Amino acid sequence: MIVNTASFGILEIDPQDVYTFPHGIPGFEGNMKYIIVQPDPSMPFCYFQSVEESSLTLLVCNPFLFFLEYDFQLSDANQQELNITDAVEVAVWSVVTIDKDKNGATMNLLAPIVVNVQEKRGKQVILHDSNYSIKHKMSFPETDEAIITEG
Amino acid sequence: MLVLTRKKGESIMIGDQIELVIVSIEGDQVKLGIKAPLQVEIYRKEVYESIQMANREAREKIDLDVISKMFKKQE
Repeated sequence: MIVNTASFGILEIDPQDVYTFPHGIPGFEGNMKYIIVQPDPSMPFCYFQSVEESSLTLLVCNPFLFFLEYDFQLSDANQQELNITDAVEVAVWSVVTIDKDKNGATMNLLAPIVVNVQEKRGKQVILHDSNYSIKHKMSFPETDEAIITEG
Repeated sequence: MLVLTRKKGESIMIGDQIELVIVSIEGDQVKLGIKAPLQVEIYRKEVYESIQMANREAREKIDLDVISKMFKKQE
């Protein structure tokens, strides 16, 4: 299948690689189909690209790489909804927001995107009674200066 | 909007599966108990709205150049 994207041009995608978010994503409740685009596999980032809306792209990262102590419990209801029976089926992504003015980036640890990689189902889970932040500052120790001067 | 008056300990049914119980009332704070099927998502509204806003902002500010610079410098 062909997916038009504003950021990556026209992509040819195996329909089996399309993730379904049955309730969409908060803010984009009507967009339920996404693909994961990873332009550069050496970077710990990828993009959730809407199949239905070419300009809807979210940058995500693996939160565990940037925040080693990150930890949350996936509720029974969410496990059921995503049909998760085993941890190997699970991948977790955090939405990243670039702040050009502050030359930095934040990631949303309060609402991780949890996907069942086998069944290609996903959901942005909002954690209850959690102290994690929607805008957890990401640190790139050696890069802050570079972003300031070149960003 | 339908408005109903309830006392502490009383409930409201929404359909036949969702029950809202007035657990306690103290000053301007009401403690609500909610009984609902597992698949019904319950959020404090401001939390859900803040996630919506954060996602919309993340989408607006996506900038491939900044990100690739960030990472090329790290190598």
